[in-house]
Amino acid sequence: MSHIHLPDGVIPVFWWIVGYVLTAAMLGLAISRTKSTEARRKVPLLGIIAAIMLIGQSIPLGFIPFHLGLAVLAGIVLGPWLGFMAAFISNMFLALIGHGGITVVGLNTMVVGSEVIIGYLLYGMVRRAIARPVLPVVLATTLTLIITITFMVGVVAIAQVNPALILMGEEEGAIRESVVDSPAAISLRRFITLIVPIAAIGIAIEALATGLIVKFIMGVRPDIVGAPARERGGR
Amino acid sequence: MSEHRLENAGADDFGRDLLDIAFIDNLAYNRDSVMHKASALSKVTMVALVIAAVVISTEALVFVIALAILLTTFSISNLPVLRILPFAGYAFIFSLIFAVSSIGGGITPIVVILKAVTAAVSMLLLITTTPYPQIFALGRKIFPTILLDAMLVTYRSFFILMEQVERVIIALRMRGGYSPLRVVGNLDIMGKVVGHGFIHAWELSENMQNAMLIRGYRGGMPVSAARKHSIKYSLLPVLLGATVLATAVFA
Repeated sequence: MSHIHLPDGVIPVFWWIVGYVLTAAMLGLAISRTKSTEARRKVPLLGIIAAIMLIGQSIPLGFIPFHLGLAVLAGIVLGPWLGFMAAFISNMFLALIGHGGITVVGLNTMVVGSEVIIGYLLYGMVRRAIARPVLPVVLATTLTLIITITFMVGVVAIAQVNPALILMGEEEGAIRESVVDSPAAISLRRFITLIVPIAAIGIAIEALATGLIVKFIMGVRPDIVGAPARERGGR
Repeated sequence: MSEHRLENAGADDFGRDLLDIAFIDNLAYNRDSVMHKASALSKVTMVALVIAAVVISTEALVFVIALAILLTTFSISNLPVLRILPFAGYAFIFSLIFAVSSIGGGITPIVVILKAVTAAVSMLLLITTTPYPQIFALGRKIFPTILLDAMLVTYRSFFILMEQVERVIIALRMRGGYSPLRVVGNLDIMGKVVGHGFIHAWELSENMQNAMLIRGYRGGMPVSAARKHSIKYSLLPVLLGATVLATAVFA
């Protein structure tokens, strides 16, 4: 759910390029960590889970401006590396329909991809501590979203600084002036004030929904989420 | 998916968002115009030039001119402009949040919004006149095989899964299972719907995987541009993009 909905033209060039470079590096790592034969076998599953994320992100939940992200679920089912690829694919499709800018795809993939990876790791840890099937999913999703939303706010906070001036070693006054004049200059406090209430509701909904989805899956096909993801390969 | 069903489903509040990609895909495949005849590369170039203009300019006038050019192009492209423009609403709403929280002295909230909407409209012009596979065909040189193949599976399976979700939603509504004001109740239902869709998708992927193995899949699905493109048509989007960028540079 911690998808940065910022459109093109508001994040400074340096930061969206950084986002793309980091995403390319992570995708390279993800592809290298996935064995070629295993990768070929997993292409349909990867594509379909990305489609499910896309559908989840297209369904509004009633009157609140919120949709499911399903990134933690993707991490649980696909594992961290294929899950990261699924995050990239769903973000690319969303950008093509104007749901977040095309220049923000890199940063968005880093945010949603981190949700996949952290969700996968936390689910593994919590599941070992709590034997019940659904509670670990709810807890892992809640903790993951708190971490990744903090990361997202951090991205927005960092992106308001003009890095070019810092890299060139300009005086403090010039940097401050640049920040105020920057197209991306924002009041972080005001931004957080707007985001936090939506995020709090969003975290509760996403955690509950992911738990309910896993509960349903466990009732019908427990093998999909019942076995630790490590046993199914793909990472 | 028939145009008739899309039109009906598109009128439905709940189904409309779900059908974004299907509706856009329909326009890209089944309409015909100068922009539809232009090559995917020329239209991607146009979007890149417009986004470059969006990045470098902070003049409201530049974006007003860019929007005028893009909307005029929409109107000559045999596209339902009023049905398409709401898709730029995502960009509008989220740039509005950003603009409201802005303290920038050098840029006004209206420019933030205009930047976002201009980029979104150029992207809409691309995807409503270019089928996704043609855009993916360009990606063959950029993306690794596994990613491009997975994107094609995402694109194809989206419609299959969407049709299934659509059927479940119709069944839910007929039984009074969905109400916009019942968030918790909707969540429970959506959990079951998505869980059901998930299992169906899992089984679909298993079948697809078997079919691909039997057909000797070794990575790299064939992607080709279906239409024949004329250079004269392809000049139009490039010229449009160049005009917008020139306006941004010299304004």
